[in-house]
Amino acid sequence: MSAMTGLFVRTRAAGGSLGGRRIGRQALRACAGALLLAASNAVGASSLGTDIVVDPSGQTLYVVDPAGYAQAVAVDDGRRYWANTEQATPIAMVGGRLLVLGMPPQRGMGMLMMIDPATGVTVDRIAFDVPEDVTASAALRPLRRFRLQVESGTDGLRLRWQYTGRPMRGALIDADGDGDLSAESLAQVESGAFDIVTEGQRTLAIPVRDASEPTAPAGVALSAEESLQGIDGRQFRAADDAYVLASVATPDADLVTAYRWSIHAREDGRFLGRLDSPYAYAPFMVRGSLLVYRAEPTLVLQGDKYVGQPSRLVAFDLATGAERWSVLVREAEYRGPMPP
Amino acid sequence: MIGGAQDTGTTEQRTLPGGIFDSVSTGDGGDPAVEDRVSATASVRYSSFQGFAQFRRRTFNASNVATFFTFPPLTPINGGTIVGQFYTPLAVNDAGAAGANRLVIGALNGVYESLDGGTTVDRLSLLRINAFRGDPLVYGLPGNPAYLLFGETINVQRRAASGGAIELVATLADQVVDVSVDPDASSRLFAMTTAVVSFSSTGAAPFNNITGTLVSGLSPGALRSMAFIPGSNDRLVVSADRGVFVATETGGFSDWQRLGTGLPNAPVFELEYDLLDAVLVAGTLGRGAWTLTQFGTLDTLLANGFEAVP
Repeated sequence: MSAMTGLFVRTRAAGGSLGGRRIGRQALRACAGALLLAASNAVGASSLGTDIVVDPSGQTLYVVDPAGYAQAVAVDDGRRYWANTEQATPIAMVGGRLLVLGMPPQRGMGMLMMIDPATGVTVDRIAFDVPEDVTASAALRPLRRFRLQVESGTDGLRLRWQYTGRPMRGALIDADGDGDLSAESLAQVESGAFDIVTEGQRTLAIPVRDASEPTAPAGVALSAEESLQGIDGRQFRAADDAYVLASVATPDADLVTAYRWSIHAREDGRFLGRLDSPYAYAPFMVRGSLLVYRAEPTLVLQGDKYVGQPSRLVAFDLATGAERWSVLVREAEYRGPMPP
Repeated sequence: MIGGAQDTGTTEQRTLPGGIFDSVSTGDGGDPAVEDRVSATASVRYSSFQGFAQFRRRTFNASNVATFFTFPPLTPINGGTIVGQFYTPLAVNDAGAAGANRLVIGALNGVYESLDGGTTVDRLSLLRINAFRGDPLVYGLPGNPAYLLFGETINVQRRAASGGAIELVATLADQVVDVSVDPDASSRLFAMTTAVVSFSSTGAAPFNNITGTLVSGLSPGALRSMAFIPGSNDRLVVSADRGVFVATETGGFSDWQRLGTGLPNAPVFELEYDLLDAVLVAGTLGRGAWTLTQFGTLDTLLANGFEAVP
C-alpha cells in the first residue's frame, strides 16, 4: 500500500401565593367532589401554537406582545381590544375566562390568572406548586424555559408543565480532554402536572402524580386517512379543525426550498387560496377569507439591503393575496446574545 | 467551513481560501450542518448554541452571501418539545436531492427527524444519540434518504428504510463514539469505541475487530471520530488523541498507518469528510481545524495557517 503523506493544513483557530390560592401536594385527598374545569375546545383546536389562544367565537385572539403582556386582538382587523397590565402568557379559554400564566411570586411557585376576556381585567389568581428549583415563568431567559401545556378532554383540564434550565457555563473537560459526560446532568429537566378544579366559588390547581413530559397535541399533521384526497403535499389541521393547509415544497433560488401553501375547507376540499412561505407549516386559523398564522422572524436580502421581520401574528387575505394586518408577538425563545 | 467550539461559539470561513473566520454566534457552538447537495447555486447552514438553543437556518448564494436567515420553530408533530443535549448531534441528509430539507436531531429527549428544515419535527425514538464523546450519526444514503444509523450508549441502532422501525444492530463492549457506513454498500458498517474499531460486512452483528495494530502499534490514545471515504480503494479514517490514521479496503480495513503530516499535537475530536468537495476536515481540541484535500499530495489550502491572520 502506498504511503499516505498528505499534509494537514490549519484552517481555523480554536476556539407562595401573593393573593393567589395555593394547594399543596398534601391537599390532593381533599378534592373529592371538586369540579374539573374543561377548556372551551380541545387542545390544538383552540391555540395557534405557543402563547396564542383563539376565542371560541373565532373573533378574538389572545397573544403576548414582545414585552410579555397579554393582549386581545380582533381577528378581522388586528385592532387591539385590551392589554393586561401584568406580564402574562395566554394558556387556554376555561369556563368563559382566559387562563394565563403570570409572573411567579417566587421560585417553587407558579401563578395562573383568570382574565375577563371582554375587558382584560384579572378576576382571579391561582397559585400552583412546582419544585423549589423551578422558576415557573414564561419570560424569555437564556438557557431557561418553562412551558405550560393544556390537556383537555371530557374529564376536565389538566395543565402539564416542563422546565428546562442550564447553567450559564460550558461543559467540563476532564484530564483526558473528554467532555464530562455528567455534563448532561447540567440540563435540569423537570416536569409535572396539575388539574384545574372548582370548589364552590374557588378555582384551584391540584397537583397530580404525573410527571410525563408535555407532548405535541395529536393531529397537527393529518394522517393519510384524514387527508383530503387529490391535493398534493403534506396536510396540516387548522386550529378549529375546519380547514386544511396543504404544503408543497418547491425549489427556490434564494431559499433553496420554499413552500406553497394551499388552504382548503376540510368538509369538502374547497380551495380558498394560496400563500408562498419559507416554512412548511405554521399554526393557523381561517376566518372568512383571512388566513391567520404565526410568522417566525426572518432576515431577507432584498437587493443590497437586509430586511428583517420579527415574530408576528399575520392575517393574510386569501381572496386578494395581500397581507391584511399583523401584530408583533413575543419570540418563541430567548434569542439575544450569549456570553462568550 | 463552519464549526462549533466551546467558548468561541460558531464561526465560519469568510472566503475560500482564506484564514478569516466570522462569528456566527457566541456561547458554546453547537453541532453545525450544511446542506449543499440540493441546489447547485445555494446552500443552507444550520447552527445553534449549547443545548441546541437558538437553532438557526441561513441560506447562502453562490457568492457566499447570506440571502435568508430564520429560526426554524421546530414544532413537534409527535413527541415533546425538543430538549437539547449540551452537545446535540445534528445531521443533514446524505441522499442528495432526495434528502432535501431532512434533518436528524439527537436531543436529550429522543431522536427527532424533520422533513422540512426544522419547521416541524417528529420524534422517532426515545433513545438518546451519544454526544460529546464522538458524534455517532449517519443520516441518508444515496437512494435511501430514510436510512439512519447511530450510536446509543453501547448500542448501534439503525432504521434501514422508510417506514421501518429503529432496530438494534449490535452491542459493543463500550460506548459507541462513532459509526460509519459505506454509501455504496449499506451492509458494510463500521462502529468504534475509544479503543476498538469494528466492522460488519453483513449489516448485522457480529462486528469484527479491525483495530489491528492501530492501538497497540501506533499509540493513538483514545479514538475519537471516524470517516468512511469511498473510492476505488475505500478508506476508513480514524482520529484520535494523537493524530489521524487510515486503513484501506485492500488492507482489510485493519492495516493502519498515520495519515498526513502537519497536524498539531492535539486530540482530533472530530472528522468530517465532504464527499462533494472531497475534503477531509479534522477538528482539534484547542488547535483549530485542518483540511486534507488529497491524500499523497500537499494541501496548499490556507498554507499560511491561521496564525498568520492578524
